Amino acid sequence: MLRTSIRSFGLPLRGLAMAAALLSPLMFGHSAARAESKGLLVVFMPPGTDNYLAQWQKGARAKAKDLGYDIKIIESSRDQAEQDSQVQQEIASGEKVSGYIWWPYVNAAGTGSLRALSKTGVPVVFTNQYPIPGTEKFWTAYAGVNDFLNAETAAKALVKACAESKTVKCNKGLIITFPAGYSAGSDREKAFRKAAPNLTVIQSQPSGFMAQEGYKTASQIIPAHKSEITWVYTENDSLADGVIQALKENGLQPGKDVLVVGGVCHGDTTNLLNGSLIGTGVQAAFLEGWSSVQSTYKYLNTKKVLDGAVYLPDDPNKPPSDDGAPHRYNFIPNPWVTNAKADVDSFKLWGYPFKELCNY
Amino acid sequence: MNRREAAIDLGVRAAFMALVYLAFALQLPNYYTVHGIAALLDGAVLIGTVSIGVGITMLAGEFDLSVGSLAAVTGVVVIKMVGIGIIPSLIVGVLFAAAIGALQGLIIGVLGINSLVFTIGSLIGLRGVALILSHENSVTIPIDQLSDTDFFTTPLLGVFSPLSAGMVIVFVVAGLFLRFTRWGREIYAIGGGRTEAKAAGVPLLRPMIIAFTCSGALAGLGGAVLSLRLGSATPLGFDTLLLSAATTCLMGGIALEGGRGSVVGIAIGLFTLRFLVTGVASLGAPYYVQNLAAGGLLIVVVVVQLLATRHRQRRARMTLALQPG
Repeated sequence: MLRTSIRSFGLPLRGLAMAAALLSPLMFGHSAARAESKGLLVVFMPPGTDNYLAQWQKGARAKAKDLGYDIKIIESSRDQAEQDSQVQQEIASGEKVSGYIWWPYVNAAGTGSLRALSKTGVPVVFTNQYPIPGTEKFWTAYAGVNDFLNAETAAKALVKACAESKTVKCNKGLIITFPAGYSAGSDREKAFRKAAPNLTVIQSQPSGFMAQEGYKTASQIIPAHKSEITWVYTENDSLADGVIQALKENGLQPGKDVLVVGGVCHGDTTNLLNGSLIGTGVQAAFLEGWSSVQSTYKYLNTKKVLDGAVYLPDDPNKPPSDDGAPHRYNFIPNPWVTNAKADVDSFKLWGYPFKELCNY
Repeated sequence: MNRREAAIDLGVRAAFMALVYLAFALQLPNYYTVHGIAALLDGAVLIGTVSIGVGITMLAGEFDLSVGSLAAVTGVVVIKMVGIGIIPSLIVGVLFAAAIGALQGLIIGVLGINSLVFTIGSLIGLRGVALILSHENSVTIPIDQLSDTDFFTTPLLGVFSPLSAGMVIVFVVAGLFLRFTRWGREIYAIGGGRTEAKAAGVPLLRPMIIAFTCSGALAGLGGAVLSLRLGSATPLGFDTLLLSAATTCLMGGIALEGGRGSVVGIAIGLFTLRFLVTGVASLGAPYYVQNLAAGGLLIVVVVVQLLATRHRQRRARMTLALQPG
């Protein structure tokens, strides 16, 4: 009987051997990745399945390579508990780390993990989401987008487009935001409302980051407000792409009946160039990743942080210098580009053309 | 599957878990240091606790899809009530979640609704409750009080923190309950064959309510503890929890059709998955590798399990055919 049972489990044992063979490349792949370098930067961030985050990673990797650092990017699912577990695991590894770069999925929920990172004594550079007031003692510097400025720029551009439009008299409109609880989303919404006080918000609806999420959300709410919508603010152009599709399906023509602004070039630029979007802000994911690594390097190089905030120069041809100490807040530029093809074609920032920064 | 076959099945699964562990321990020092193992255990608490509840409903031949949403609601409730004290708010949260679970079990048992269908409704509805209670935003403990919850992960006994020790206790209690109590055996009975269980005089409603109460309470416990530890709760949090818990149970040998599996199996499934996912992430591999690895591993386990079952059935038929008369 026992022999029979053991024989019947011969298959599982062969399965074990197969699994061992499957796992082994993972191990050896890692060994090859480690070469001698100036140090290791560890990044914690949500998954690169979103194309903005994938571009951010490319920028961070490129700059780390340029500066002679190894970089390890630990991607979590869109779950703060999982990211916290990864932080605990990394800290417990005892790995010699030169600097941490911290991008929480949910900013407020990530404060505990941020605190744990800060307790290691390794510098922590916060990125992408504006740090929550009161957490200053847990991080060394912030490098990335200014969500408030970004939304303010979009709001001002929308107000201007409304004033210039011959077909739309802007009054009531919709705000489609990042998911509930994602602080960049609420920061942008607050700044947008403040910068455009005369625009009436019929509904503000949390959605996601991508076009399909924007489409799904907009398809649900547009039919109820179809007759009164004159503008829509989404928090990036990818969401705007989905909203534009939903507007068209409801018989509204973006750019003519409704003015749409996303404010962050994100993915495809078709809707920008055909006039469905009034324009866009070049919040380049690649440059945000690049700048986060540069700020970390500048701190490691000088062991100093300058007080206050700095907006990195929006030089068309030259990236900011690696010399000197970082500021407490290091914001990447967020220049506005109209939907005119000539503007798009001639645009350059830090030596990168619009298409390279925005089409991904 | 008889007792001996079940023991061998668990042995093979445990060997598989050890293999995954070794594969990463060769590469990651934190897989064998005290701090590293403590972090691995702490990282397993949420999924481990919730998996036991999901596993119990699976043993009863049902499925609770609402665990992620219930964990999120409970997290929000507990963080909002933290002013009354950490432990009191935790207790209130778990009782709240247990009550929701019991209500779900009662409705499913009395009305005979398919639990998959019913808990899809509660999965969506409870997420809405979380959004309402939190005003669609994260709720947090004041930053200067974050250290109040440090005791959850303070080393207690070697690799154990209060958090991971608590998880082990939950595993032991659940295992003893299912194996040695009448109510526990009733859960196996209704999962193994509802008509036969009914014919044997096993009540259907009681084990159903108990299974869903356990599932609710443990989802609430996991959500509450993790939210307290993080110092915040988000209404859309824990959305991948159900998938992780179900994967853990399947990897641990809990049968989808009910009546077969054990808490030991869930523990093995839990650590197999955690060793793999944590290891892949610690190596800095892209997120898709985590998904590929976890999905691939589950498929390997399920396919091998299926082949083993078919092989065993074929041998049994051959043995029967060879018997004289």
